[in-house]
Amino acid sequence: MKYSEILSRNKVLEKNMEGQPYKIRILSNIIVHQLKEILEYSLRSEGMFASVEMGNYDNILQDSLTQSDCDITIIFWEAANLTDGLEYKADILPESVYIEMMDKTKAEIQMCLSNLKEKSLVIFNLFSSMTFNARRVERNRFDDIVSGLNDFLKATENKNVRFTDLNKILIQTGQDASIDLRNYYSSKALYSVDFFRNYSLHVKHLILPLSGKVNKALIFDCDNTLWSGILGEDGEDGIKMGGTTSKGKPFEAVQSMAAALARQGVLIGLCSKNNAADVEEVLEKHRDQVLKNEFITIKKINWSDKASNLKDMAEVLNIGTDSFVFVDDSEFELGLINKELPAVKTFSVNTKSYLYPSDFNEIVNHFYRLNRTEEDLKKVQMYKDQAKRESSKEAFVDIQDYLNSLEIEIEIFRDETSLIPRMAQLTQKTNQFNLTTKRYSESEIESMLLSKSFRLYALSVKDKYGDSGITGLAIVEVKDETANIDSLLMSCRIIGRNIEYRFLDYILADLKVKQIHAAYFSTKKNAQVADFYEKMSFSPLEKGENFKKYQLEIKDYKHRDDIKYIRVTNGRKD
Amino acid sequence: MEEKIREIMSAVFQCPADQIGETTSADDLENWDSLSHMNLVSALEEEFQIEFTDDEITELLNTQLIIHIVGGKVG
Repeated sequence: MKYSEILSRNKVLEKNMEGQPYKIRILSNIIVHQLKEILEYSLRSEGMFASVEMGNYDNILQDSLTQSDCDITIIFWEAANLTDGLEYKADILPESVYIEMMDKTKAEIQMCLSNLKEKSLVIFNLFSSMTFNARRVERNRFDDIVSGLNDFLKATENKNVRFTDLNKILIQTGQDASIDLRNYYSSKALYSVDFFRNYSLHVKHLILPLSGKVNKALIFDCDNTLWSGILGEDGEDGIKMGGTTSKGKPFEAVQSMAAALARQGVLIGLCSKNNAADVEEVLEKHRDQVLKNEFITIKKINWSDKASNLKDMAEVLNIGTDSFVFVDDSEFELGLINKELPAVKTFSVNTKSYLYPSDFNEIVNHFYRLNRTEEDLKKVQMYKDQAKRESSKEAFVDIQDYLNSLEIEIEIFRDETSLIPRMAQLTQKTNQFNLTTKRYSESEIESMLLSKSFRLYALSVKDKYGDSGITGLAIVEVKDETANIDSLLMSCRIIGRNIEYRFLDYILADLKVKQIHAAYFSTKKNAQVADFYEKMSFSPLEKGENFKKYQLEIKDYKHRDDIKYIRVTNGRKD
Repeated sequence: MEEKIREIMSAVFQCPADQIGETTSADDLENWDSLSHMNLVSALEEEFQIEFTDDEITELLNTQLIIHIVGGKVG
């Protein structure tokens, strides 16, 4: 899209966005103001209301002290302007000045990261010498400065920092198209609009997960999407996805990339108009098939329309279609999905199949996670269990019998340090069963853990079908005889089993207070818990357009000991 | 072309297109400063597939001059 169009559309989007914006502040020692609207647009067009502001020019360290009002900080620290003209002065700096400059810069980086350690996310560009040195054969001191600082940066232990490799953006954009030196010597502006466009496309994948927009499932068509050819026409021997054929090779690449995603916890599904038995035969027996059943969570191989099939999949997996990415070679099918299920992100297979694998990187980016946890890795299995549970649900007439047969066990961990990443992740990702939808970073969770007034209860659930891992969280603030439930959430994987009653029983007993306060804040997604506290016999105190506040005298609370099919234990991590 | 230039100026300086007359310059528009001037250059170059020299960049002082310089380059 043209730059002027981005400017106008961004303005329009701003008017249509609801709620409070995510504040992103860019701290830089060069002029990068054109990044503002371009980055805003790339986030807003994905539904995230972001507002980007520039820090003061060349004031990174001082500005890093005053960032309490923003959510995300981007550090755009240009090596060439560490001191004026460093790209050409580096080679003639006296040794002592050079050493002093390196030490000073490292100290500044350290202070800056430490000032920003409470932010949800700090995006730090790795230093690059390519802007000025790409044409040089021999390595010089400017290259050494850059690699020395990058080594230092990468050793940081601050968990909220993510690095951007500017060299990737430079290569993607092309050196000449990336750099605009006309304003460099006069006003320290260096990068082109094209560069900023690619930069935004890159970093948006780091930022979007913070808004709770996390993609979970990747659904493939089969013919000309997983393999070259049409199974029903070309037969099992005619389709190609093997390394020995030039036609099949790109499909082998894509299948392998998808299998790697499955290993990281992405749910892989097949949605194809085919005879189910034929596809099953390929999945089990075709020697070139990489994406075998072990990587696949769900299949809808039939002749019904794909929109209904995707809707069914979302129901069975108990996740929203807005967390689906769908790949197909047919514009008709993609068009249908775009129309019927606009929340699904769709990708069309490049008709030049040799470009399909490199395009596929963009799909991989859609599954970027800020932090991966044990639960992510186990997820494919857990969702398979979920699909099994759903199908055995039909065999039970009485849901009570069904729940009895599950052998549910919950384990509750209080203030468990080793669970900080998972607890933060749960607050960032859980949308449906989430009473207040407060998003917390790892460092925020950590400081609550350290503070005496907060108690954090993490919930782990398993049953005879499998272990769901840590899938629930409550954050409670305690003051004397009163407690306030700041956050209460459960992953959608474990709802519908009355676990919440036993979880709350446990927490209220453990708190040993007289009175509890709680609140519900409504969002687009959490309507299912709008009456949760009423059900738990809390009394309403106050009601606004988007919230309800409650109070409960502990003596009035009724423990749900009648739910006998859930075994509750007190967790401990070694 | 003239209309497109006004459209771009309006997008870049975030003001209604009818506020941009022949002699409109940085003195008339609150948002026309040295930074948004760079934005104007980027947007014009992209739209008309041209590249200004550094001297031309400093000569893009009002609507008339912009039309004149862009027109000369588009040919």
